[in-house]
Order: sequence, then structure tokens, then C-alpha cells
Amino acid sequence: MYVNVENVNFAYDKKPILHDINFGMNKGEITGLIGPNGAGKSTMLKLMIKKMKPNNGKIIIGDNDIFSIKRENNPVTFIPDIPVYYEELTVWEHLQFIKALYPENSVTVDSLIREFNLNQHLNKIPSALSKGTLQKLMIALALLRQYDVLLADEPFNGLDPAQTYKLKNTLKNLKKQDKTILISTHLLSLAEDFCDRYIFLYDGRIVEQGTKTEILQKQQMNKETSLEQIYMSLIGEGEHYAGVQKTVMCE
Amino acid sequence: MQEYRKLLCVNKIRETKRLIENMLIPILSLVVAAAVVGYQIVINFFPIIRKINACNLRICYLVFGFLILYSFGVCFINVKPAIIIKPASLFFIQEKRIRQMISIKYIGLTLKDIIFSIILSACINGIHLNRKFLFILLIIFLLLNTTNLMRWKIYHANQRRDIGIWLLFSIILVISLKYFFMCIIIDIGIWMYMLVYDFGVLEINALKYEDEMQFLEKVRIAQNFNNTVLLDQYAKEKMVRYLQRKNKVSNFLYYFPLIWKAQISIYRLGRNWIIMGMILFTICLGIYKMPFYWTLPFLQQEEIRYMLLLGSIFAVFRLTLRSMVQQLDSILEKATDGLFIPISENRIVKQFMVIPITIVCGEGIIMAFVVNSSIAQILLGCAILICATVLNLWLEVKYKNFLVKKDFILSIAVFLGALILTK
Repeated sequence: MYVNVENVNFAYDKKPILHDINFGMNKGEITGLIGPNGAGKSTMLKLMIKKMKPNNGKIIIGDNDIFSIKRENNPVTFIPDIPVYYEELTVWEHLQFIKALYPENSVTVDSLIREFNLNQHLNKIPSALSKGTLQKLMIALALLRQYDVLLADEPFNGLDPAQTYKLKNTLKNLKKQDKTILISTHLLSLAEDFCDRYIFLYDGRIVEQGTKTEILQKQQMNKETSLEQIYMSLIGEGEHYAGVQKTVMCE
Repeated sequence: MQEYRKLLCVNKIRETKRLIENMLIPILSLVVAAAVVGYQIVINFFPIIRKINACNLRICYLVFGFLILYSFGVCFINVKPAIIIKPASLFFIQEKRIRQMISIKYIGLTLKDIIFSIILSACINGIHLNRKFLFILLIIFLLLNTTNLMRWKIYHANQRRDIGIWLLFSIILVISLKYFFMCIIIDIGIWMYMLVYDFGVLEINALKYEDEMQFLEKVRIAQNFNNTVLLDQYAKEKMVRYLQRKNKVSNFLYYFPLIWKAQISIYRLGRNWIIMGMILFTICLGIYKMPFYWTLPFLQQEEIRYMLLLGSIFAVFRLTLRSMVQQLDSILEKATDGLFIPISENRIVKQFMVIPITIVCGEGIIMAFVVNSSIAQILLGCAILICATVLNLWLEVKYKNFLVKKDFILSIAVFLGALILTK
């Protein structure tokens, strides 16, 4: 596994948020981090971008603990849930600045402007952008970096159907380029379209993980069960439904 | 009265009530100040105007010059819509009624122009209802009103070619006192053309206008609630809101991205502090060099003047450093939130120290010429400030908490060190 999260525990203000988190991600694989609000998805991503330090456990990328990796060799890029930007720079200046920081990346500013239809907004400051356009800027900035691991916290938030489609395609292309991708999302039907593996997080604990087939086998559900139904069953709101599925499978 | 107008009136009353509730003391202070100023005008200025018997040409051309500059400023430098409409009205009221609202607001604007024109023509001509008074009133009114129409057109159509109309108006204003009727006829012609164009032909740039109105509404709400934190944020936003389109970057960005970013950010957000420091430095330099100031008792001793000069250099240094540290802080903070910077800490410090060191060295050279200090002394002073810059930025990157607590002590120590060693 290229990325390994080993026995990670995290408490904030003595309140436990994450318990014994263990998972791994391969290169060229898209993993969906799925869970209800407050499950700890964003906290997990914040630990992986070194915003916070776990109380114990390790997060390893390649062969290195992320906290030993220098900032100039950081292999991670991040699409935040709450947009992060410089208030005084325009969209165009943001793109140029990040490109100047990562000249080795072959992705060009112009191609991203075209891909995300940012042409009309180049001279605006981020606070003057709509939610969707701001999200597109965050995605464009993340893609301009040189990285091996892409972490995305609710990347589809605020995007229109056309942009959602484009982002899905972009993620699939990145997968072909051997990038490791972790996406936290609520949109289960979307995740089902392109994720290879899933990690179900509930109340700070991983309740299930693996490919969809592995999860279905472990949960003894039939092949037609959707991700949504698995999720409902795992968080305990679909017990009756899951029961019916199991019966069908036995028959 | 139609339902929507009733609702708009109710909204206005509520808004005013809230404003009065939240800003009672500032409003009361403003009322008192306005009363005092108004009283002074009535007592002192009014009798002077009454004494004016004939058109004062000097004042006339002075007023015309000011009006021409004002017109140029609002039409071509700082183009803002002349008519303000609440964004909610723009969203919920249909276009035909919006146009009615704009027409009503335009009538209000015209009334303001008439009042302003009467005041100005009274200042020029005195209060005599003769032909000249009416002529000056008319010509000022036409200029003001056409300016409003022109800025409305330029704002929505984004056309700057109306500069020809502005030039024509300015020339007419200058020669108007000589060629009376011809000028009035041309002015009225231009005014009517603008009127017909604005209300008959011009398409409102809805996206731009809505965006602008939303921003103004945000600011107004923050003002009404006396929310200083939000007002501060909006003030920053306003500074960078109307940037000129500039889609070219120099190669400098690719060599020194952090300096490129810092200089843009400081220019847009923090330049006032540095300008203040420079002004302070100039004043202190003047005090040190000009014997005129030495008559003041506390400036008689050269040591005190020298200390003031050194203090001002230190102030510029601190203000520059403060701006840089703020930038550094912002970059590092955002880097932890996901806006990563792939540059080592040492390189960050190196890039950030270029601007303050340049300023400090520049000041050192100026001082070397002005104060006739020995080069060794100046070099020593500069070296101390350079070390302080590096130390400050390094601590900011590595041990921010330490700097938060000990910054003031560090600054005083550096200042005293520079003072003792250079004098």
C-alpha cells in the first residue's frame, strides 16, 4: 500500500474524535471516505494534511511518516471543504502563483481555466465568487500542484452537473496516472460511480472498508445492493432492510 | 399605493429604526456636528454671499475647474453607479418596475443636482435672480446631471469613449461665459441625448450591478449593526474589489514567487502603514536638518533630534517588518489549511527579508548623506537592523508563540542597541 494509516487516535479537547483508524490506499486507486456528519471524515483529512497531529498512530506515505516529510517534498494536494484562499489575490493571480510554486507540473494554467470555465472570473477576488466557482478554483489550485496523493473534502459541493461530470472524468484520468485519491463525500451515488474502495466511518470508528464486492460479502448482501443501502445498514438505520437482503441471499 | 411600494417603505422604516437603535450615539454626534456647522454657515457664510454683487470670475473658474475634475473622476477613474437599488428589489421585482424605480431615483438625483447648482451659482454670483445667475445655475446643473447620466452609461456599457463628450462639456464650460446661448444649446443637446440613451437604449449590466449592490448592502447591514469586525473585512475586500484587468506576469514571479505575492499583498492591503512610516521619517529628517524647528524647546538638543531620526527609521523598519510578518503569517497559516507552499523554511525567510532589508539599507544610505555619520556607524546600524529582520522572520517561521510574547522586548532591545552603537 502506498498510503498507510496505522492505529490513529485523535482527541480534541479531551473528547475522542477518532479511534484506532487503520486503512491503506494503493497507487492508482480512488477511495471514498463515507460517513454521516460528525463521523470524523474531515478530521481524518486534516490529520493527513498535517493540520493536526494524531495523539498516537502513524500516517505513512511511501515509506515516510508524513510528519518527517519536509514541506518542499510534500506529496499531498488537498481540495478543502471550506475554501482557503488569499483575500487580496485575484483568481488569475492565484493560479499563476501556485503554478510558479510548482513549475515542474505539466498541467497549465490555461488548460485549467478552460476546463473549469474560469475565464469570466479571472479578475475577481475569491470573496466575490459564487460557491460553485470558488469550489472550481479550489480544485484548479489543487490540480496545479505536484503531488502523488490527492485528498478531497466534499469536492462536489456547489458544482453544477456539467462540472460534476468533468470532475469525475478528471479523477478517473488522475487514477490512470497512478495518483492515490481519497475523497470524503456524502454523495453516495456519485461515489459509487468512480470509487474503487470505500471506508465507512461512523462515530470516529471504521465500521467497514474494502471494495464494494468485499463489503457485500462481509455483510452478506446481494450484488444489487447499492452503496446507499449498505451505508444505511452500516449506520444501523437499515437493519430491517439489510435483514431482508440477507434472507434473499440465503434463499 | 401598490403593494410592493408599501413593502419597500416598511422596509426602509425598519432599516432606519434599526440604524438609529444600533448607532444612536454616532448619529447624535453627527446631528450635533451638522447643527454646529449649519449654524456657522448661516451666521458667517450667508452674509458673505449676500454681499456679492456681481459674478466673481475667479471663483467661477475655480468652481468650474473643480466640477470638471469631479466629472472626470467619477466617470473615468472611480466609476460607480449613480443610482443605488436594494439587491432584494433587483431579485424580486420585475424589470419594468425596476426601470420605474430607477426613473424615480433619477428624479431624486436631479433634485439634488438642482439644489447643489443653486448653492454653487449663489456662491459665484450672489443671491440675485438675474439672467447671469440663472445661466450659471443652468450650466452647472447640466454638467452635474450629464455627469450622472454619463457615469451610469459608462458603468453599464463599460464604454470609456465618452471621454469626447466630457472634453466637449469641459471646453463649453470654459468658454460659456463668453458664448452664452450657443453653449447652453449644445449642453442641452448633449444632456437630452444622454437622457434618451440612458432611459431608452441602454441595457443594464445586470450581473455587474447586482454584484455591486449586494456588496453595498452587506456593508450597509454591517454598518447598521455597528459590526466593526465585518466592516474591517469589507474594507479590505473593497480595496481589492475594483482591480484593473492585468493578465500578464513578469518572470520575477517564477524566480521569487513569495516576494511577488508579498509585494502585491502589501501594495493592496498594507501600504498605508509603510507610507505613514515614510512620512514620519521625512518629518523627522526635516526636524533634524532644518534649524527652523530647533527653536522648539525640546528639540534644541542635537541628541534628542538624532534620537527622533533614529526612532523614525526604526518606525519605518518596524512597519515594513510588520507588513512582511503579516504576509508570512498569512502564507504559513493558509499552508496548514491546505494552500501548501513547497518551499523550505530557510528559503521562505530569505525571500521575505529582501523588501525590509532593501528599505533599511536605503534609509541607511539617506542617513549617511544627511547626518554625516561615519560609514562604519551606518553599516553597524544597518547590520543590526538586518540581523533583527532575519531573527524576526526566522522566529515567525519556527517559534511563532515565542515571538508573540517577546516581540516588543526584542524591538526595544534592537532600538536601544542601534542607538548606543551608532551615536
